[in-house]
Amino acid sequence: MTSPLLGFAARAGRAAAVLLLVAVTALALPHLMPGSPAVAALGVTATPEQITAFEAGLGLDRNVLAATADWIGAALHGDLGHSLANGAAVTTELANRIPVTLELFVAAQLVALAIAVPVALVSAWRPGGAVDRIATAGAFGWLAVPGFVLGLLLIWLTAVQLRILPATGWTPFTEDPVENLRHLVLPALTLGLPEAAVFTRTLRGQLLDTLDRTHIAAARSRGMGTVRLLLRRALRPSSLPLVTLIGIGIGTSLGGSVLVESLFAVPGVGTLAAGAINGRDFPVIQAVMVVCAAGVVLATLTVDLLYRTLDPRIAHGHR
Amino acid sequence: MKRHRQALSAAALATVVALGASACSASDDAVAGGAAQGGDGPAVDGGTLKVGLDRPFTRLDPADGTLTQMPVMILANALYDPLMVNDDNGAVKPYLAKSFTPNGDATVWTLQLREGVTFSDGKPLDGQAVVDHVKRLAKPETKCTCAVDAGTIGAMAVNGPTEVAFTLKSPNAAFPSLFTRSLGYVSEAPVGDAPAIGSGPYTVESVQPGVSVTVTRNPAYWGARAHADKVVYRVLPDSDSRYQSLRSGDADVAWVETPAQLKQAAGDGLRTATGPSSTSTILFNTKVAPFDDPRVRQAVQYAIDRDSVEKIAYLGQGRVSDGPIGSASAYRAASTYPARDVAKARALLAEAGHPDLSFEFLADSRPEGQQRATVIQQLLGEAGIRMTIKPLDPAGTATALTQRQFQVMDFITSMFGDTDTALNSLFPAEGPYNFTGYRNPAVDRAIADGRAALDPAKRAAAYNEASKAILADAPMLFLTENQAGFAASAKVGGLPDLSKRTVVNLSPATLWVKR
Repeated sequence: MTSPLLGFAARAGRAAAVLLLVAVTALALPHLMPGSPAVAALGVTATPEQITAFEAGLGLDRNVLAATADWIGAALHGDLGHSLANGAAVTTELANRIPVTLELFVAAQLVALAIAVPVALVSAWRPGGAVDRIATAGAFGWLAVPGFVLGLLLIWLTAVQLRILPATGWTPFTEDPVENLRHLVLPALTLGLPEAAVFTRTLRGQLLDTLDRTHIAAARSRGMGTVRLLLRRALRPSSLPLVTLIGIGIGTSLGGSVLVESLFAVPGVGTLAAGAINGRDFPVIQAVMVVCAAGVVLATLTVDLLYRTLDPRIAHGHR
Repeated sequence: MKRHRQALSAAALATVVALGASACSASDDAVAGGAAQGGDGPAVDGGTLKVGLDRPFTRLDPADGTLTQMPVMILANALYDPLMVNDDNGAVKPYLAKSFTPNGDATVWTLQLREGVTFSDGKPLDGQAVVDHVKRLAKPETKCTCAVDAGTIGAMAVNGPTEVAFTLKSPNAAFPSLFTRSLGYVSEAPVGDAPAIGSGPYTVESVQPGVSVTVTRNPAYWGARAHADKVVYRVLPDSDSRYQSLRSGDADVAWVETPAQLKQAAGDGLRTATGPSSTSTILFNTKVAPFDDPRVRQAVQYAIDRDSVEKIAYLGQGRVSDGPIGSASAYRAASTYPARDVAKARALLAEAGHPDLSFEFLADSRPEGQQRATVIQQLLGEAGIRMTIKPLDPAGTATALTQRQFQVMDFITSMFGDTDTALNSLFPAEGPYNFTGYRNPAVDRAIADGRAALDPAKRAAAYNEASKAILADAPMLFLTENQAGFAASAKVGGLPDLSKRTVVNLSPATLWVKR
């Protein structure tokens, strides 16, 4: 059996290699992407001399590996460079926006779990029943609706027709917690509802499998009540795929949050990334890429550790 | 005699400019546009006006190109006063300036400033401040696109507290029009990341770059007091949710240019203040085959039905464009734009040796851009021309334009709102925005003659001569003039009539929120 410490060290090593690869790719982006950052920043009237000087300032005249080494060195000291658009420190910009995106991500996961867990439990307890049939049809329906359409529908219904929630914008939690929650509802629903559909389908399948196991039959024979049986005996072993989905979701949520944050004007990492890509603001794009990759790597490591806690057989090498 | 006529013309123009100043005090809606649309009742002071911006601003400094684009000028006008403003039908009139008068050959222009104007920090906005501002924006490190315009100035002299003389490198009868945006928004040099201080009706209270900015009334404003106590600007980049924010009351005023939204605004209880402020065109790369042959360009010109483009892509919200001189321009003459003729298009292609013409069309990646490209694709297909559409994002568009990495390209611009600037920038062989690589010495000469002519009639004649040649050579095709501007909720008062504005420009100071 591999020692847990050695196993963790191997995982950390692989994570560092992934991050290094992402950093090299990010630093190579200005060379690979169409669209000149100099023209985007300086405008179409920039002279060739201005463009050359600007590109030199960005390190585009240097070897990618050397530029990556310098960038990593600076990043380890907390310096992720400066935005080409407004000269702001990228570290500060990210520090302001990461909490917003994280809050949105957590809220979306809570929405998804709050819907998925009860619906999946009822569906799995009575497969083919009314709730199961409605949940199955509803899940496919949600999955078929693109995020921006769902977002616009929610805005139309709750902000325009009912006028109970704001259509767009953001209030920081520290400024006004109630307003923060009001602004959070629609983007969290837009991100969370499609995830709820995926979670429901995944958890239902896993629960059906678990409910067929002998320990469930044994618990039933001992007279354990339905609710207790589902929550205590079936849910925990069936929830491992959900943990994986949430872990993967940290990475994929950036893609969704670009759209949702732009739609609802939420000042998170998504809108920062969208603006940076449109303006070819490479220092920002590079930092967002590496920070998001670090988020995914960290989430994967956390999921690994959680697996061991949720299912001790994994820690003991039985599964 | 010639000199005498020029002197008379100069005097006439000076009178017009000076009259403009007297007719437009700072207390009225000079920046905003014409008279209010009416039906608003008495103006209401106080409250907060919420404005939705369609794009993130980067720096609060007139040197920043974003701040002086039409949709964001509603923010610039809060903090800075322009020396000159665009009026109806493409005319330019003084605002912060009292007058702007030329010498006999339009090589020296004398600016007279209003007296008693101060920046929001109390420092005087005088002749020296104007010179310092122009010098700052001319420096390459400021990265202002207006540096090209500033480069046409040979020397500046401060002749007293309120007078500046500009000596130009070459005659320019339309020189004052260069002072309607960045060069005209006189500001103090910013310190660090702080906003550049201006003389506008509001000052910055708080700012979150790229997200929002809140401005409060400038207590020491030299002009009329702004109506709203505060204006909160939020960046709402998605056009659909921005529009829905107007309907829900999360925004009071916002930029709108999507044809479907303009069409349904009234039905949704919104009011609009729009003008023919953008033009849809097509650019050819005239430096490479097959579009280095005018016959091929003309064939494409004959194959496109501008009415169809306008009706399908713009839902009848605009009008067809007849050339580089816009329909609202004072220089406009009868159209010489060729009517659609598919047979002639085929004949020209056969004559040029390209009977099966096919090419790649770079199009705006937004839905409207793709729809427009699809309409063009179908129209060209009727003439046997095969066009493939390649979507481009904004940064890709800028690179394709400047490095001329295109065959044919979609180009939507607000430049034709100012005929002088458009003609002088886009078509001369050495023009700063000559993206097509077009070269016609006769056109260069006509444009230069127009630029130097102080007599509006002579300038119009010269510009129309250039326009005629441009339409014949077809380096650029003109499709539609499009409506764009602001939509406001019913509780906003003071919305001006901008229907004759080729440059849509709105000041938040003139708007109020009804209670």
